[in-house]
Amino acid sequence: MLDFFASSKTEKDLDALPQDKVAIDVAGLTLHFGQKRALSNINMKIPKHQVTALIGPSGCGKSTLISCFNRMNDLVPGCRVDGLVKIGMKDIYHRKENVSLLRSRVGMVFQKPNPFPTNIYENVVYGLRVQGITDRRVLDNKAEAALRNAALWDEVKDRLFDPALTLSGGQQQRLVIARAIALEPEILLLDEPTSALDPISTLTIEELINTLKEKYTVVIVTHNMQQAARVSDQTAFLYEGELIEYSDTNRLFTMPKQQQTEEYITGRYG
Amino acid sequence: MFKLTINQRQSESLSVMLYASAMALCVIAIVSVLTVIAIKGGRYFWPTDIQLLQTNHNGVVERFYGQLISSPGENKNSGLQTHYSVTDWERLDSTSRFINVAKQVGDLGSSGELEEHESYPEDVALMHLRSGSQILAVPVSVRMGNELQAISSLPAALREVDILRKKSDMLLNTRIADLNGQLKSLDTRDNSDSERRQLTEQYQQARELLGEMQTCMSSFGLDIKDASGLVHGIPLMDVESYHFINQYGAWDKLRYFLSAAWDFISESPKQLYASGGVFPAIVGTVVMVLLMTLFVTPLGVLVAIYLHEYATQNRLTTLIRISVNNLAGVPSIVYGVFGLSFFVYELGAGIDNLFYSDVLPAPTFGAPGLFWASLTMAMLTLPVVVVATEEGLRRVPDSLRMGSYALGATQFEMIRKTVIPMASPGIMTGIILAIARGAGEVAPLILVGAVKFAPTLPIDAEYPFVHFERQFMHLGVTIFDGAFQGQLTGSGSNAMFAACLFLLLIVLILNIFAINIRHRLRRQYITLEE
Repeated sequence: MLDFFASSKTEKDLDALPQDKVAIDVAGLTLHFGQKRALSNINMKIPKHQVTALIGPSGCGKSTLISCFNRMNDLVPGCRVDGLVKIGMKDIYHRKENVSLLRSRVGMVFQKPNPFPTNIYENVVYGLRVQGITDRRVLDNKAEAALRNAALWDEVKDRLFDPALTLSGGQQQRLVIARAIALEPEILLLDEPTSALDPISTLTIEELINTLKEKYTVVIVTHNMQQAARVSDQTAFLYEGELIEYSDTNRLFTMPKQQQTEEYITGRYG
Repeated sequence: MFKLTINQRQSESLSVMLYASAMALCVIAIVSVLTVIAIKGGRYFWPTDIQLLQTNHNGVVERFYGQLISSPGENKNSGLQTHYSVTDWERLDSTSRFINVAKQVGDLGSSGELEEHESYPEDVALMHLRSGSQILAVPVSVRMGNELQAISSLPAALREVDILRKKSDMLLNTRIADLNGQLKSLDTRDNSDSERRQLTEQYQQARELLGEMQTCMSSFGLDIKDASGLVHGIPLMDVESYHFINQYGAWDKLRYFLSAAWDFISESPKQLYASGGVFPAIVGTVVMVLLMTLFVTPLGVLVAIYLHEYATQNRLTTLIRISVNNLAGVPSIVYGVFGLSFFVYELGAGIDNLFYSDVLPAPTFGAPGLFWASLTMAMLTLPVVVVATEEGLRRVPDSLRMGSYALGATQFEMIRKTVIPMASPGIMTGIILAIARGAGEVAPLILVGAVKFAPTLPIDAEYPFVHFERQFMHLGVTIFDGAFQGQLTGSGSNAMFAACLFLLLIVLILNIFAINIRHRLRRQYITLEE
């Protein structure tokens, strides 16, 4: 009870966040797949160096929303985006935006671990090689740093040149995270990173997310409300393409403002 | 209820039996193809025992030595006749004869009735002559000048002749050629007479020495006796080797077999493929197939990548895809006609007009040749490579493409770094299929450059090393030709099987290379277990 009051007192106003603390600024975002509207009029500010969780029932558009942040939706035929998504004061949907560069600045990890079928080392340096880095020493150093940051170094340091597919599911997912952070992105997007993993691997990844937020802004999509409550600083609840509620995690889970949010988190639907 | 389950089980095992027997049939078919080719091809090299044959044709008795080529088998009433390889003494060559085994009086179609064929005289030898001919006879004695020597000195005499030949060859190739060159340069420089005289003298001396050696060589002779007892004399320098096959044990026969097989793949054809080997055809086949692979692989891979990765999937691309797939079903002779009419007569003539106008009207690229043949075969195998590559591209999971994009790769980088390596086993599959198809095709090649006999190899040590404009020999064409000869004369058909065996071996070796690469690629890029 005391804790609840404390949090409500220090609760930050997400809409009035100063510009330099905002990592992603979404304003009036509407997205269509062909004729079907997938997201309608989303407004949210995602603060820097914090973990933001997106929750909601299946098909509510949370994965679509996260894919807007690095323009992965461009690859879906018939996708149309209106509105503003600003990262670092720049509109990423501006027609002069370099999409590959954007994607190297905004890393993304998918639901299913998707390591490339080469060895562990080559997986980690893939993005660096794409950037044109060929100096072996630079690659080695960055690979080691990335693997350490992804809490995988101790497990793989003796077999860096083994096939990546010999790793376990949880290790593969951490390898994919290492691959993304080897590029030293500003933002890391995690699209249900633990839904294909066992509880222990999930725990490891959650611990990892906690350490990652010191360096990166993390946006995580999750089905699991406990996970959102455990790892995130603020949570957004989406329902049928609309942002129903977006606030501090403690507050959203203890005192939701909206009826729908309450129904969802108490398990009445979804 | 119980009965029903039994019936289900029975039908289950019945269907399994059906599948299994179909597979067994397939295995039998493959094994029989390989066995027939291996046995028939191998028999061409295996020495058969020499028989003394005697025929009686309406009172005319003939005796000769012969080697069995084929027998009609158990059914003696069939029209087939026993087929022997014998010596034709008029041309000093091997020829073949059909002999009727069945004792039917007055059968005019056959060349005689066999009276005796069970004796295998031990002193008969199979002799290979340098011209490529073979004769069967009993060596009687060796002649050196005017004196006769026993047959036991034959190996020594042969060795002596061989040494003489090598010496005279060396003299001809080094000393005489050298002097000849010096004399020629003197002619142009117009130098002093004394030098010229000296050189001419040296040249004459060398020539005399050579003449001495040659008379010495031709003074060696060999007397041989045919089956009817007549003695013929042949110069010993004509004899390449001799084999007392009837005295050979299994080990000696195996050695003969291996050396004959080696001669077959390392020598040029002699006497219109009646003997000699298929070396130029092997070289031609391999060079043509490699060039074809070089042409078809980049083109096919690029086409497949564009179709699968870049092109928007609409009616047009579907139409193109269907057309490419159906190109594989176009009869190969159509490609040959296309290659001849378009590549050779249009493009080739154009190239000749532009670049080789000084040697016209003799065509350089305006005639069938290696380049046009490889290009035609590349067109013929293009659909195979495109289809197999596209299949390989389709098997690259989308999650990997997404992963690559998410790391900041452009589409080109994504394709180059992720899709092509992962599709490379599929590309190799296409190349394997293309090689097999290209090596075995005959009909289009006859039109665009493969010939029965080409005087030169398509590759040699002379610049530019690979001669695109030359005509070449091809194993498939050799087999085709052998089959026609077999129909006409009944001989040469075994050479066809032997050529077939080596065509199979070449395809096998090329495929083993390609499969090896594919295996290595697969290990390197293990596909995701979906």
